[in-house]
Amino acid sequence: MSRLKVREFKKKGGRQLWVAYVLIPTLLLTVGFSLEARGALKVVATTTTLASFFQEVGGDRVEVKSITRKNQDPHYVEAKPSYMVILRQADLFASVGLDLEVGWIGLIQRGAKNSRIQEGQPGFFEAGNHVEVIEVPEGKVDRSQGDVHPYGNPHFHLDPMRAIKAVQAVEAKLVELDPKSKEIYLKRSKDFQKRIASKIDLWKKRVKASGVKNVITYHKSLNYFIRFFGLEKIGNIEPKPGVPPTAKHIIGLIKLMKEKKVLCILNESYFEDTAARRLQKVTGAHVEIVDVEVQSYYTELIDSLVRSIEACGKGRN
Amino acid sequence: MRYLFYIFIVFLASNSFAANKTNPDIGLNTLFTYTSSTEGNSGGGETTNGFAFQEAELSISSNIDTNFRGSAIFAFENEGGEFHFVPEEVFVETLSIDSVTFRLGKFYPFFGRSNQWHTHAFPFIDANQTREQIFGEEGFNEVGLSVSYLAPTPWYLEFVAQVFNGDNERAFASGVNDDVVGVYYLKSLWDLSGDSTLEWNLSYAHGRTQLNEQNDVYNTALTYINKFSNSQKLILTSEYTQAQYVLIANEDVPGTFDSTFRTGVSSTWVQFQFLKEWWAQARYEVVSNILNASAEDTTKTSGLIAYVPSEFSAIRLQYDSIDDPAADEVEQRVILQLNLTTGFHPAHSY
Ligand SMILES: [Zn+2]
Repeated sequence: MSRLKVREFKKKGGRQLWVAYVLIPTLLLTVGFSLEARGALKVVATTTTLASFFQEVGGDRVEVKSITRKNQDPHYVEAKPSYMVILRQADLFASVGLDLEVGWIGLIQRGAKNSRIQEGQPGFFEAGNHVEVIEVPEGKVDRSQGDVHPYGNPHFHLDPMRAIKAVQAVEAKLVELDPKSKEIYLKRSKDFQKRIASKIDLWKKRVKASGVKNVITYHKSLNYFIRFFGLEKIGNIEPKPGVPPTAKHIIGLIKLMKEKKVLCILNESYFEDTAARRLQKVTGAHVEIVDVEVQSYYTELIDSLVRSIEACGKGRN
Repeated sequence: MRYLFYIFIVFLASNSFAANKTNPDIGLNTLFTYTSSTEGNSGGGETTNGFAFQEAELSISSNIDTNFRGSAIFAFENEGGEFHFVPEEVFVETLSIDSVTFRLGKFYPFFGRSNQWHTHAFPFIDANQTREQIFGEEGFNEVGLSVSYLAPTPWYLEFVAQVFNGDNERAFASGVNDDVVGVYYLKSLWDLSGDSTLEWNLSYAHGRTQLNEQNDVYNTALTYINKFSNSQKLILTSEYTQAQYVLIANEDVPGTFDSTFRTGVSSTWVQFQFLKEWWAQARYEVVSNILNASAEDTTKTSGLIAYVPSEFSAIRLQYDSIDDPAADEVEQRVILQLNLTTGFHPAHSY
């Protein structure tokens, strides 16, 4: 009996040695990795605006990166393999959705070989699913209409109320992925929403006081902003989404601008401003080159747009 | 048997499409050409002067569920006036394994810089000589399995190990010798700045030819891309492929081959987008017989100008000068191509 036990022990001892040599380093490695993973939640967002929402709500519990740079057009991005390297380690991949990133997101999402961030997984987030959108095309959409956003206008973040909705969805996602930090996320999210909401009245007053009634923009990126602040959009510099302006279209716009007495041209900073400058020369309207994605803080983005409207109102370049 | 496999995959895919709320991405690409060559139609060569419907390609792809993605590309090809319906690629890929992707089906192996490009995505109207000389007109397209691994490095580093049945008339033929083809591929890409990258590919394929000889095919490629602005971009690529054996079938005596030789092919090209909708391109290619150093090289020089009003349409005009020492004179050729896509446009690989 006892002998047997000894032998068994020896055998076990042998196995323990094996455990010591192979399993322990493996365990250490795994622990090392999970320790690393247990640090900040790694979030990669497609736009700087979305990244800023995650940063505001997540604070130091998250490590946020944006794929597009501050002044980069999120419609057309090259699916660079370097983005796959960034996404390889991500716990969460946040996109605007509504097909804004359709031309490039799939390749980098799959190329990252990271199961957590694939479609249908908790680590993939589409903000557009949580916000009511406008301009959903009715009936059939085809390419003769240009690069129409088939699920509606995805540039909803320039409506502060819709931005708040998106922030709430960001908060819910962070709580879902990292429930231990729930209290932090709830508090930070509430603070951030309050900060936005508290500025709305003043922004509205300033827009009203500017005397600007209507505007022209390059793309439909500012439609939510225009609606929210009760302005009227007279036209777009691009004749169709994604299609560069033609001479014929510009002539039509000049006529329309004179007819409607348009004093304000907002040209999104990531689009060409040559046509806007031409319109300015002919009609005397004021051109403002505006950022439509967050450069520093969300409230500063809206504030800078309001300042541009005010500058239009003053009417001097 | 192989067709049963395709039908199965298509069935699998279409089934999942029906169950999905989101539709599969379906796109149709068509290519029309007009060719004018000094070789003319009498030379018995490949060139056919006049209008041609080059190819139509139907692509369907979709995530099947959270674990798999299916992709199928069918081509209607015009071969000397006869139309063939060819499944160019039909495969499934894994989505839920970290660091690794398995791909099973019929596809263009990861090999060199240009092997996976479809006709409509070729930088020039015709295929590069690095591909056409070594693997023939249809390129290197096989049925098998690939495993790609993305290394945990701060830059992009990918290794792909692949095994295929080997069904290439010129290079590999498992049907004759029960052997398989092993293909290994390495891709490394560095960001030089926010807008410029350098990519290096190293590939190696190993198998047996129809004559049961061991065949080794090597490729190395370098690509430099610089996007100066939204409307200006420069792409420089150089690719070299070397094969131990290349068999060219003797059409008069079936089952025999005209030549088996050791071949090295280089393709170097530059693509410059000088205005938002305009590209100017040039290409220089050399096909050489390495064993016989005294044999003269065949060279091909091409120039191309493209008008690309949107990613859905392009008009391209190409000029080629082909200097083959075996031919009586230098062939000069002009091709005009209309490249149209409707429906879903698959994202361009970088
Ligand atoms: Zn848009």
